[in-house]
Amino acid sequence: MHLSSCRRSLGALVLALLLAPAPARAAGTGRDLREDAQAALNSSLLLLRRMLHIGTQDDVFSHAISVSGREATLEFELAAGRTRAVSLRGGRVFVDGAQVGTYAPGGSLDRAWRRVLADGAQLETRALLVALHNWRGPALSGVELAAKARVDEALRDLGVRAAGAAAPQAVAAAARAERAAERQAVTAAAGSQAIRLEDIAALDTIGRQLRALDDAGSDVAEVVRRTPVQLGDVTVEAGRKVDGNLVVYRGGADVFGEVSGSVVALFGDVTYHRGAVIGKDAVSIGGQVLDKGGTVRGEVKTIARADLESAASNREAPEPRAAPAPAMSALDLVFRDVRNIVAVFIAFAMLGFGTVFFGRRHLEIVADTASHSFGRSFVVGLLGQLLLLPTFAMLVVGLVFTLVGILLLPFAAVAYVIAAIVALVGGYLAVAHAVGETFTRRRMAHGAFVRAPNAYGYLFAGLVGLLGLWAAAALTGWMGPVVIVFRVAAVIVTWIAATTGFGAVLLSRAGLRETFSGRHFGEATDEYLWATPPATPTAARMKMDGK
Amino acid sequence: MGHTAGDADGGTHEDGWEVSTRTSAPPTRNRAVALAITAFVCLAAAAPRSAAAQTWRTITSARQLHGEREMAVHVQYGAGRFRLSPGTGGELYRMEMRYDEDTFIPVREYDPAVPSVRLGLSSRERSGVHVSLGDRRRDGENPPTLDVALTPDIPLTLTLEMGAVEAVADLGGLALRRVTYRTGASATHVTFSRPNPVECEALTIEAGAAEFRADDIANANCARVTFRGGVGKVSLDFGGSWRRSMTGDVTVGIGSLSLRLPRDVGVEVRLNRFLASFDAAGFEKRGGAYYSGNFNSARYRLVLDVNATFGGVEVAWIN
Repeated sequence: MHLSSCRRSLGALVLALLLAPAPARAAGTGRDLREDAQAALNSSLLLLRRMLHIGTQDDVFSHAISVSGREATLEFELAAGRTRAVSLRGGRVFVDGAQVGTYAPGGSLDRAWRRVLADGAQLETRALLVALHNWRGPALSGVELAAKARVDEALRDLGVRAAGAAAPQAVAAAARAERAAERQAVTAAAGSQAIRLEDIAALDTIGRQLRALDDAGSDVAEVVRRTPVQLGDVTVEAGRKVDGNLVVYRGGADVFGEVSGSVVALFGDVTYHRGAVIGKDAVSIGGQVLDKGGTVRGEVKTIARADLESAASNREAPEPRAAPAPAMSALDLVFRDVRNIVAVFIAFAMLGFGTVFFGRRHLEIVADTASHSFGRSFVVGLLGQLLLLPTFAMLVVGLVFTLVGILLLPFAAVAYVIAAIVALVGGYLAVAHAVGETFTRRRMAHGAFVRAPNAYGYLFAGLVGLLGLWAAAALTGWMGPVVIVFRVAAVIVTWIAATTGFGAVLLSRAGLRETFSGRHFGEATDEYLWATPPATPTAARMKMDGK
Repeated sequence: MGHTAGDADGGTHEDGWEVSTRTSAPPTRNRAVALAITAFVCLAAAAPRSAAAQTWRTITSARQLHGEREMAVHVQYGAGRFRLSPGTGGELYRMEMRYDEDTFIPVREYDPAVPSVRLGLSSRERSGVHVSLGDRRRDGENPPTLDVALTPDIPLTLTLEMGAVEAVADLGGLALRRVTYRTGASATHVTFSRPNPVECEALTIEAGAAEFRADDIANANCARVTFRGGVGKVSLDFGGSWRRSMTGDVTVGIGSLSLRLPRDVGVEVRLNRFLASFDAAGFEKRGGAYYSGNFNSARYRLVLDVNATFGGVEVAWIN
C-alpha cells in the first residue's frame, strides 16, 4: 500500500511539474487544473516529508502501557482506527504484531524499555512521545541494538495533533527547562541551611536506628543511606519531577509535583498535595505524613522518634535469655497431676450437685436409662457424636434459607453448641450417678453402712470411681511408661461414660421420657431392696434371720 | 473502533459487558436485590485460587480530547479497589489498573459515533466475574485496583457498575449530565466535592448489599435523585451548593438510612415504611407527609419519597 501511494505521488509530482508552467488555457478548466496541481504538489511534499521523516507525524489519540512479568507493551491509537503497538514479549520484539527482533529477557534492552514505560505511565500522551523520542537507552550491541533501532523507527513518526499541543522540540526544551528549574529549586532549598558535623553523626545514628526496626525501617534505612540528604524544607513544585528518592533532614517535604522514588523526612512532615505523585513510599520519622489529595504508590509510614530509639536500644541490648525451668522431681510431677485431678473432680462434683439439686428427677431418669439400657445408650451416643456436625450444618443451612432463620442463626448456633456440651457433661454426670448408685447398693447389700445413700452420695461415689483411673495415672506418673496404660484406660473409660451418658440423654429426651429407663425390674434384686426404707426386710436379712 | 487494552497476545477483544447486559433491564426495587444476589453468588462461586497462581498486570491508559463536545462514559469493575476523580485538562480519561490477567480482560472502548467510552475489566469467562476472596484479603500487599480520572472539560453521561468493590468516587468538578451508579456488595463513598458546572438530569444509585455514603449531593446539581438499596447502611448528605430544587426517591430494604438535610432548604418527606422507624425531629406532619418549618418560604426545596421496609430512617440537620 505504501508503494502504490509512492507511485501515485510521484506521478502526481511529475504531472504537477509539467502543468505548473503551462499557461491557463481556459478560465474554467484552468482553475481545476491549478487545484489539481496544488493537490498533487501537497501530496508529493507530504510523501517527501514522510520519506525523509521531516515534519509529518501520525496523530496519536490515546496510549496504553501494559506491563506484566511476561511482557511490556506500549500501544498507541492513531487516526482512522490504526494502532501502533510495540511489545517486548518472551525474548522477542514485536511491532504491530510482527516480530522485528529479539532481546534477552531481563537484559539491558528489557530493563531499559520497562523503565521508560514505568516513567511514561505518569505522563500524558504528548509528553510520553517526547520521552520516547528522546529515549537513548543503555549501551546495546548485537541483536538488541538492532531491535532498539526498529523500535525507534516505529515510534519516530508518531505525534500529537497540533491543536493545543506544543511541538516536540518545544516540549523537550520545556522539559529540560523544568528539570533545570527543579535542580535549582532543590539546590536553593538546600542552601538555606548548612550541614554540621553533629548532623552527620545524627544521620549515622538514624541509619543504625532504622536498620534496627525490623518491620518498617530497613527499606527506609537503605533509602537514607543511598540518597543525598537535603537540609531544611524542600518543595517539589507542581509539574516538576524528581527522579529517584528525596530525603529531607531537619525540614519538611512538600510535594506538589512528582517524585519517582520515596520521600523521607527525617524529623519533619511529608505533605503530598493534590496532584502530587510519590512513586514509592512516603515516610516521616518524628513527624507526620499529611495527605492533601495526592497519590502515594507505595506505603505511607510514620515512625515515632521514641520507636526509633527504643528499637535501637533493644537491638543493642540483647534480650536476656530465659532461665531454664528447673527440672521437676517425681514427687512434684505426682503432686501436679493429683492437683489437676482434684480440681477436675471438684468441678464435676459442683456441677453434679447443682444438677441433683435443681434437676434430680431428670438426672435419675437419664442415669436409669444409662444403667438399664447401657448398650443401646452407648450406640445412640456414638451415633449422636458422629451426627453432631452434620446436624449443625443442616441447622445452619435450614435457617439460611428462611428469612427469619437468618436472624435467628447466631442464637441458634450458640444454643446448639451449648446444648451439645450440656448433653455430654450431663450424660457423664448421669453415668457417674448410675455407677455410684450401683456401687452403693452393692455395698449396702453386703451390709456395709452407707452414710448418705442418696443421689448426692451416688454422684460422689460415681465420680470417685470414674476419676479413679485418672488418679491412678497421676499417682503412677513417676513410674515411667506404666502410666501410659492407666492413661489410655482412663481415656477409654471416660469416653465410654460420656458416650453412654450422651446416648442416655438422647434416649430419655434429656430426662423427660421416663418410660424408656425401664424402671420395672420384675424380680427385685438385693441391691434394689436396700434402696427401700430400712424398715423393709431385705432378702439378705431374711436369709440371716433364717439362719 | 472499540478495542481492549494491552492484550498480552496481541489479539483484539470485542467482549461484551456481561454485567451491564444482565442488568440493563430496569425493573425497580428488585434490581438492587438482584445486584446483591449476583454479587453474593459471584463471591460464593469464587474458586479459592492461591495468589501465587495469579499473573498481575498493570495497565496505564490515557486518551486525549480531540474535539469531543460530550461523552458517555461507562465504567465496570468487578472486585478490588476503585477510585474515580476529575482529571486534568486535555485528557478525556486516564485509567490505571492492576489486575489478574488470567481472569480478566481490560476494556477501553472508544466509539466516536456516539461518542462514548467504556472502561474497566471484563471477565475472560462468560459465566461472570469470579473473585478470589483470598486476594481481597491480601490488601496489605497490592490488591487489584482501578483508578480512573475523567475530564472536567466536557459534559459527561456517567454510568458506573461495581461489583464487590471498595469504591471512592469524587465526582466534584465534573460536568455531569446524568449519573447512574450501580453497585453490588460494596463499600462506596461518592462525593461531589465541587459543584457540577452543568445541569444534571438525574442521579440514580442502585446498591445491593452495601455500605453506601454520598456527600454533598446538592453539588451534583441534579433535578432528581433516586436511590434504591437492598441491604446495608446508607448515608445521603444533601449538603453542598444548592442551585435548583430537587426531588428524590429513596428506597431502602433492610438497613439504616441516614439523611443529612440542610436547614436552609425546604424539605418535604413522604414516608412509606413497614417495620421501620423514622426520626421526625425538625418536621411537622401535615396530611401524610412531613414538612420542615421553612418549607413554604425556602428558596430551594427538596421533596423526598422515602420507602423503608426494615430498619430506621434517621435525619440530621446540617447548616
